[in-house]
Amino acid sequence: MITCRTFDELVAILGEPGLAEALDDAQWSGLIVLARSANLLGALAERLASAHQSIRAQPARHLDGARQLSSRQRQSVHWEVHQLQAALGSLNVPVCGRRSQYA
Amino acid sequence: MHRHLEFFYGDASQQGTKSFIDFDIEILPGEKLRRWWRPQARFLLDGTESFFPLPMEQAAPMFEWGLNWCVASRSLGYLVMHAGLLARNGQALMMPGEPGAGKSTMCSSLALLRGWQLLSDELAILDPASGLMQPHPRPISLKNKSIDIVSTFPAARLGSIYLDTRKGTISHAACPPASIAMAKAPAQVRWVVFPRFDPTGRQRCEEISRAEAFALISEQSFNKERMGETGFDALCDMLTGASCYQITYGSTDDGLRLIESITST
Repeated sequence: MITCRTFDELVAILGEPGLAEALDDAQWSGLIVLARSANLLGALAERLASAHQSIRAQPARHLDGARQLSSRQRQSVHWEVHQLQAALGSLNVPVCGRRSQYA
Repeated sequence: MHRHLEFFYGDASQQGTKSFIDFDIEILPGEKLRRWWRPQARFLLDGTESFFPLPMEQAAPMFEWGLNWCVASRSLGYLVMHAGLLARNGQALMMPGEPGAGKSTMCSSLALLRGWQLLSDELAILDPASGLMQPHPRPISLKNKSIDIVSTFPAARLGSIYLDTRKGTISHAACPPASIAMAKAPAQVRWVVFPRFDPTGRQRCEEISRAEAFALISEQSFNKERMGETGFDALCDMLTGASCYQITYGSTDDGLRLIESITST
């Protein structure tokens, strides 16, 4: 089994995406396993993308996959909110639902 | 399990721990008592067990199912569909189908008797960026009667037979070496054929619209919903250059004849 990198390193890269530059293939494997298990793969992918960090092809597939899924989930949340607005908006009362599965 | 890996994956390069790993898989013995008493095997992805353990002697089929599950559930930006996929000169024939439609038998026949490149007997992987299908050459999973049929093919190399699995009797046929050599050669879908095996021997071939094919393939896709617009557009683009058919056949020979008449156009 891949030895995971530590949470400190994941947090460091989330804070400073440029640190990802120095990772080799094995370190990327560990980082992605860790971020996925911590449910932070989407956050990591967004951070690296917004910092225009260049990433080698193999880990980039995992990160792109995560970003694609989050954009789909964002769309689903918007849809749900629009439906709520259409159904309940005219009542003019505060709407408070259970935490959505997309939260 | 060792025999299965050696028999089917003997040529796969053994990379060290220095390379990037997409799926970190372990097959481990059962825990505690289950290591010794009616021993079990467990399948782990990234150190997490996602299935119930199976009897130790079914470790190899579990490994193959597990790999399929990995690709289908963690699809890495690809659109993954449940279909057999073959190609000739870069032009792909896609055969989506429910279990029992005869996908694996038809895939084996086309690959082992007619020299088609086998991309996969189970997982059609579409890259939305290029619009091309990615090969995923692995052993063909054969069930029940298809084992008898495929074992008569001169070029067939079959592994062990596993009895009483949850899918009945299971065996695997090796992917032809020429297809493995082309593992990096993607193909463009040109024909989509929905096969249906009819034991009464009835034979039929009907061209269907791309819209109908779209709806039918969507049912066989593992992650189109999760891919949102990207998945939708990728599937539309894939079908733009394709002719789509539904065929019913009663024997392997009939099936091959129908496929040949479709793909010779």
